[in-house]
Amino acid sequence: MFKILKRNFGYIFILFLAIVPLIMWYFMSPLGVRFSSQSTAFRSLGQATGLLGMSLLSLNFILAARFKFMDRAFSGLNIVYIKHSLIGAVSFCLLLFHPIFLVVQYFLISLKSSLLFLFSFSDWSINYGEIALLVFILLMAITFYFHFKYQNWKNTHKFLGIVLLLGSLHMFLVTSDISNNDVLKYYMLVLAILGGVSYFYRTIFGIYKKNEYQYKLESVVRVNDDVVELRLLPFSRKIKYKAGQFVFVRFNPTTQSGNGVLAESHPFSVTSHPDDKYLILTIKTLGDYTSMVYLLKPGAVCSIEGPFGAFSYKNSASMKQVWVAGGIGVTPFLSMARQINFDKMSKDYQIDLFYCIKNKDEAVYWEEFSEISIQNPNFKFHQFYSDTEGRVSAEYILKNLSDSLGIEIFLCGPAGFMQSLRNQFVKLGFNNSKIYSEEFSLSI
Amino acid sequence: MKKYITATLFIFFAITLAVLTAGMLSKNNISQQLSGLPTPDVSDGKTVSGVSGVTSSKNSISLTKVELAKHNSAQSCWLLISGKIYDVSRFLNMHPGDSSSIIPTCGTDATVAYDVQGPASKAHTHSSNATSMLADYFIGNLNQNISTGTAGSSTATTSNTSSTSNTNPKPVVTTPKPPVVSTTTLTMSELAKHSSSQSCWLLISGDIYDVTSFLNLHPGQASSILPTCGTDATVAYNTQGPASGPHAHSSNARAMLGNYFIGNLNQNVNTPAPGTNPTTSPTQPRPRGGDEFDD
Repeated sequence: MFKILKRNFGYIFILFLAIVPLIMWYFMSPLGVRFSSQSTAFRSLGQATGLLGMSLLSLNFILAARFKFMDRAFSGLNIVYIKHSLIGAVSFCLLLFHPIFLVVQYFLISLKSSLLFLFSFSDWSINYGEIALLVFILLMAITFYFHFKYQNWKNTHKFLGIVLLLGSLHMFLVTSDISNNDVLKYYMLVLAILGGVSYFYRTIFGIYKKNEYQYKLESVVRVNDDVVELRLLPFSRKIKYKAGQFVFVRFNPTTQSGNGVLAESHPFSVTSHPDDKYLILTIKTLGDYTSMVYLLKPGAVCSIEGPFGAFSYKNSASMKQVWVAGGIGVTPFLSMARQINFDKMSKDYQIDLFYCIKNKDEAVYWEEFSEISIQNPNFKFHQFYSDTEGRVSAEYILKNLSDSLGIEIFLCGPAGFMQSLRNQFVKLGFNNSKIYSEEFSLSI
Repeated sequence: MKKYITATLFIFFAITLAVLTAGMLSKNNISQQLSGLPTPDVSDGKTVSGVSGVTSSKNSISLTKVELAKHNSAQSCWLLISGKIYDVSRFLNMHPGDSSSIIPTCGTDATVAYDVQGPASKAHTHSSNATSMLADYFIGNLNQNISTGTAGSSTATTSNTSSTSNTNPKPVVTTPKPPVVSTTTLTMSELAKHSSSQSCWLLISGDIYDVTSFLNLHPGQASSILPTCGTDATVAYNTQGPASGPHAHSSNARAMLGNYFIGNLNQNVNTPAPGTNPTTSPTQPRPRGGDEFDD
């Protein structure tokens, strides 16, 4: 229990901060009065949705700012982005319901007043809210319905700053419990300012940040048709990371091969081990961005931000670990396997790596894994081809272990693959907190 | 999550469109309201009734101050605002500023309270939306006879039908009661007499306003108005708005200014006997129809 709390500390803390204004609101006036009649009930619902929606929206800007401490608080920056996406969606729904409830309330007075409420545009405090909501709707439609290219989507997403600004103006100017209660007002103000500061930190100051590492592209290695490896060397400062973590990379647009697309910051898995002189990044070239890496030429300069992620064999208490990789989800395990093979201190780890892919053609680095398993008797390498053997199951994995007592399980692969295996292991009596997974889907 | 977002967006647009369509269908009334005549105006003395001026007078009551004073509780709350009487009993719980801020004024002249006790964040005034919503609760003018649907019912059935009988704005201000009056011509020299904080008149765009009682309510301090008392303040008014805004007074401010209107330049007006302040007189009518709420 405590472990789950600790692992989700960041998420729980954010939800708590978001609910505080609702608690204050609850104590400002008894619920009996707030819900004493139909129209007051709708007004109260409108207030509550607006309040919660705005606090979640403000906090979501903090989540998006890619702060280093977030990575620890959420057990991985990838988790932060997953929660960011979820919180954003919830906040969007709440803020859509906010005017809906209020319109119903005004409709109970008269049709005319509900029409005036929505379409009179005479009251600027309300107009700010309406403009903010329209921009929000547009940007969320882009996010959820139009599948823009990653970098284009990211550029539209920056305009959410307008939503926060106008939404906050609306929140403080309009007559409500916020304007009537100083404590609530300042609390919401602090949240909005924190959100705004995070926004500027990421969009404006981010460009001038010093805590990035400058690297030079040494070579681009094609591993197979879809997978490519970038080998980088540091200019001066070397990034310190743990095996299994990931970094954000952005290529300098002024160098010959850094073009506009690659100048956007993008997450990459690190596959080198921490003591390697190269920083090796491995990616599957599927998206618009990732296929552009073929255009990169040796000598290109890039900025590395990170490392992020808490998916590391060293974070586990048990030395007996089962690693299950689905497809390209093998990349963090490659880094970890290289580390175990390199680092004498890690020789005692007993690892069973299950590499699940469609068929042999899809496999990457299997020679290297086989090599490591020969050199290191504690490292066992299992390949699983779903084309011939069907879907991998927890039972199959346990059957192929010599000893399943006290193991901890690491999962990395497609979301459905990880969820299914996690459920199966829990059903077989494994403790959920002993199962680690890396949800790697930073772009929606 | 996408499912929920789709559903929410659908509800949002369905309701917005429904309100808009319903509004369009009954647009005779409402488009007029939207284009800037939020308060229905009823000519003085005209009997307001369910159908027309002709009515069965069996349940007729006269909206006197005595009658008004009877409705001074949360159960039946009437307000006198700028010469018009409103039954806001049903609205009390919906008031954004809480019902407790209205209840003390029930059964009394709430003109000043209404004009100055608006949302604290917004220049201390009610918005034009609030004003148009108020119109939904209109019963009649002070000292007017109205017929009530059932005797004793506080929710009179009279309100909105009168909005179609909009009368032209009257150029000359008259008061419904025959007070002690004298006639004054609003010349520039008359204007210049009212140049102090005791009596401050302003000429703005050809209209004269007595803002004496407003001086202390001015968000930008009385001191910013005082130098212009007794003069043509048009330029000052148009350029010296709140510094945070676009340096002009808001439509709310303009709506509020309407309450202090006395007459046009060089017009003859009846002024109450000297000593009484016309702007705080409870029977001071809204002089120019509803168009002071013009946005």
